Amino acid sequence: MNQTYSKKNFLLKLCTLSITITISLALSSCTPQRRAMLRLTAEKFHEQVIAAITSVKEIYTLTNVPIESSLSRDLITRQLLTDPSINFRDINEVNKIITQDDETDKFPSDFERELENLTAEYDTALEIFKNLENIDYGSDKIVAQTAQPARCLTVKMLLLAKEIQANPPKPNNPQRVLISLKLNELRKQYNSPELSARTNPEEIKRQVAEQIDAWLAINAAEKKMIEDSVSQLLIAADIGRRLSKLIDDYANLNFDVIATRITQIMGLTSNFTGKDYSSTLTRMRALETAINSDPTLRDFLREVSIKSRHTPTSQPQLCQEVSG
Amino acid sequence: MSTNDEIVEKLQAIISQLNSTSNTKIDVEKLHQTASDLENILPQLQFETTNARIDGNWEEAKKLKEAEKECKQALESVRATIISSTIIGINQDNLREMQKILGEVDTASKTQRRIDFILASLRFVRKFFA
Repeated sequence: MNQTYSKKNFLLKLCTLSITITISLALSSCTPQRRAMLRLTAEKFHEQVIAAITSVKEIYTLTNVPIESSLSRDLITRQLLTDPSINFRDINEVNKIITQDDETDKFPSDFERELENLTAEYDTALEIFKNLENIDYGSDKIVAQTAQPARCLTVKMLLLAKEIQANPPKPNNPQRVLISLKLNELRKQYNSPELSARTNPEEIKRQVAEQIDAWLAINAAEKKMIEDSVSQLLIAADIGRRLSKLIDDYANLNFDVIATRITQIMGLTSNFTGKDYSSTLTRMRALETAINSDPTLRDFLREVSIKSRHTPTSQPQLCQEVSG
Repeated sequence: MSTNDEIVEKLQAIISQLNSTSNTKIDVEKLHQTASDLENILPQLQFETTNARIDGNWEEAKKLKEAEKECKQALESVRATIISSTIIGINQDNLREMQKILGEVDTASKTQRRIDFILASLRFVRKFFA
């Protein structure tokens, strides 16, 4: 009886051991795939960050007043004929007047450079994940190290979204200037007896109404641009948050769980680009709460926020410091 | 012309604001105020430039266009400082230049001088944050 028990016990132990070996073998054989999955997520994060930064660039672009081409041509003609300061021997000057091109000698602005630096941080993070795929030994340790830059970049996306939401730029102001010029002209016509004799006052009022509609359309278009950009940044922050969670759990998760999570991350964009801005704001608050409930992300958020108040210029940027 | 006065007043306010924190650091809230002020000045300059062109006042248009460009660059620099989230210190050279600009505002009585003041102020703001 006793002999039968120990035989059973031995068989059970052998069975457990063989199952463990099988699982370990299965897991280790999955490692390259797991790393590939991680790279895919990092690529998705990077892709979303690029889309978000592109939209940020757009809303902060300071454009010229979009004068209609017929009026522009008329003004150029008049200037060429009546501006005594034009030196026709200076063909660069003449070229600038004819093309109205003051952008020829334009180099990237300080702001554009700042955004490029930010993009470069994300490029570096992606590079790490790409290289990771070719490393077999010690990759788990490297994956763990990538958590910090991924978190930092996540927080930066959220802070940029908050900045835009709190202090939205006015990219459509040049169009408003154009309408204001027209309204100024219409008022002159309306109040001058000489000019209003030529134009029916009712017709002037109709034209004013037209300009009001155009102004309101510009307001709506601008609002949409800002909301879209904030949404893009929030999607990026959300993907970043999930990526950093994935990195945290990487060593303890099996391939199926990682694959499921990544599938969820890939589907994020479609259910997040809401047209309803109030839901975007709710989303921003939810995301902030999620980030605050993650101890490490919370520390990053606090660190970056405090930095914006107290750190001197000479100190290196947080993410550069971390990834460098 | 009244618009030019308004721009002059706003720029004077920006420079005074930078000046008032001369011994300390300028924080992000103040930078937001400066960015918002410059963002309001820019369309006014664009309006004046286009208006001067329509009126055939080429010399003024040229100066105003230059001011418009300076204003864009100053605004870009302030925005860059905001997103890089750093705090700007004021050095003695900046301080001296600020005092000079503030002193000049009272003498900027003629239109031409006003535009010169606008240009000088905007150049200073840009240089300050660059």
